[in-house]
Amino acid sequence: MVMDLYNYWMVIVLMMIGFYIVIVQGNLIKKLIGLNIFQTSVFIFYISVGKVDGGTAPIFIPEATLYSNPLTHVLILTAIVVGIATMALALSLVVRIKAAYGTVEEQELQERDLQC
Amino acid sequence: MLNHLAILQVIVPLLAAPISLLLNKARLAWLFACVAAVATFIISALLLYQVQQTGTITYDLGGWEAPWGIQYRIDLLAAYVLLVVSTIAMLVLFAAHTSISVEVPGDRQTLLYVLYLLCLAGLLGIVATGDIFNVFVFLEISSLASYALIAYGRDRRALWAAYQYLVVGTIGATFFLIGIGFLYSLTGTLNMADLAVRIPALGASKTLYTAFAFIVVGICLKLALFPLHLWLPNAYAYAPSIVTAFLAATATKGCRLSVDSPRLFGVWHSVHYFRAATAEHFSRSRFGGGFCRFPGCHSTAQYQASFCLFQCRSDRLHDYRHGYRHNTGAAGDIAASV
Repeated sequence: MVMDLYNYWMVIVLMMIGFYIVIVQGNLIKKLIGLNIFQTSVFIFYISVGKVDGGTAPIFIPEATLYSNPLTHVLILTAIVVGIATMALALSLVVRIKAAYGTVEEQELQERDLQC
Repeated sequence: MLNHLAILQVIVPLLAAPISLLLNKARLAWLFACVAAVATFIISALLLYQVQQTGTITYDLGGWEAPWGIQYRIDLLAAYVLLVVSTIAMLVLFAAHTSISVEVPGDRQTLLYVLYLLCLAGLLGIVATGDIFNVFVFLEISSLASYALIAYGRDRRALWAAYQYLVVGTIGATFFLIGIGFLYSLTGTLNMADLAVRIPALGASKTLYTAFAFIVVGICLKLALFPLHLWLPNAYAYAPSIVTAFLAATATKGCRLSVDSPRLFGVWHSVHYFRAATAEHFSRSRFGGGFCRFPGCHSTAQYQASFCLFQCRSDRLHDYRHGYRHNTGAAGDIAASV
C-alpha cells in the first residue's frame, strides 16, 4: 500500500517541506526556494496522475500499445512556465527590495519600516 | 468576424500589450492602450447583445470540440461581467495618464500600460473561458501582472507588499492547481460544463471533498476573503492609485468572485445536492445565484472604482476599511451562492 503509492507520499512530503519553509523562513530568498519546492510537488502529483500502469512514455512508437496520459504532461508544462515566470518576478522583486532596504530578512525589513 | 468575438475579447488586449511595449513612448502607449480598451469594451457590448439575441455562445479554440479542446463559453452572466470589467478598465485607463505621469518615473510608464493590458487580458480570459485549467492560466497571467503593477508604488513598502502578495497568491494558485488535478483524476475532463455533468454522477467521496477544499481555499486566498485577506490592505495602499482603482474594482471583486464563484460554487452546489441533482437543477442554481448576486457586485465595483479615483491619497486605514467592506460583500455573495 505505502510502496505502491510512493510517488504520492513523496508529493506530500515535498509539499509540506516547501510549505513549512515558506511560513517559517524569514529570508526572502529562502522563502522563494520553499515556494518552488511547493510548486514542484504539484508537478510530480500531476505526472503521477497521468501514469497508466504498463504504459510507455506518450511518444509514438510502432510496437507500443499502451501509453501514459499525455494531457497531464502538457498541463504541467504550462504550470512550469507559470512557475518560472513567478520565480523570475519574485527574484527581481527581491533585488529591488535589497536595493531599497539593504536587507532581505523579513524581521529587519519590518524594523526598518517602523523606524521611518 | 462576429463569430470570433469570444476569442477577440481576450486576444485584443493580449496582443495590444506587446505592441504598446514596442511604441516605447509613454503618451503613445497610453493612447494605444486606450484604443485597445475601447475595442475590448465594444467587443463585450457586442457579445452581450449577441448573447441576449441567441443565447449562450460557445467557441471551440482551433476547431477542437468541447470535452477535448478548450472551449470558450459566454452565457448571460459572463457577458455582463465582461462588460463590467472592460468598462471599468476603459474608464480607469482614461483617467490614468494624469495620475501616472505624476506617480511613476517617465522611463517606466510604458511598461505600466503593458502590464495593465496583460492584467485586463487575464481577467477577461477568466470570465470567457469554459475550461478549468485555462482559468488557472489566466488567473496567473492577471496575477503576475498585478504583482508587478503593485510594485510600481512610489513608497518602498510597495515592494514588500507586492512580495507578500506574490507569495500568498502563488500558494493560492497552487492550491487551485491541486484541486484541478484531483477533479481531473476523478472525472477525466477539464471542461466546466462537462465537469458539472460528471461530478453529480460520482457521488460523494473524500477525493471530491479534498478537491473542493483546495479549490475554495485557493480562490479565497486570491480574492482575499476574510480571514485570508491580510495581503490586501498593504498591496492596495502602496500601489499607484490608478492600479488600486483598477484592481479593487475588477481583480479581486467584480471578476474573480462573480466568475469563479458562480461556476465553481455552482459545481459545488450540485455536489451538495448530488442525489437530487439534475441538469435543470444545476442550471437554475447557477443562474439564479448569478443573477441575484450580480447587481450588488456591479454597483459596489463601480462605486469602489469611482471612490478610489477621487480619493487619490488613499491611506492605509481607508484601505483596511475598504478591505473589510470588500470582505463583507464577498462573504455575502458566497453565502448567497451556497
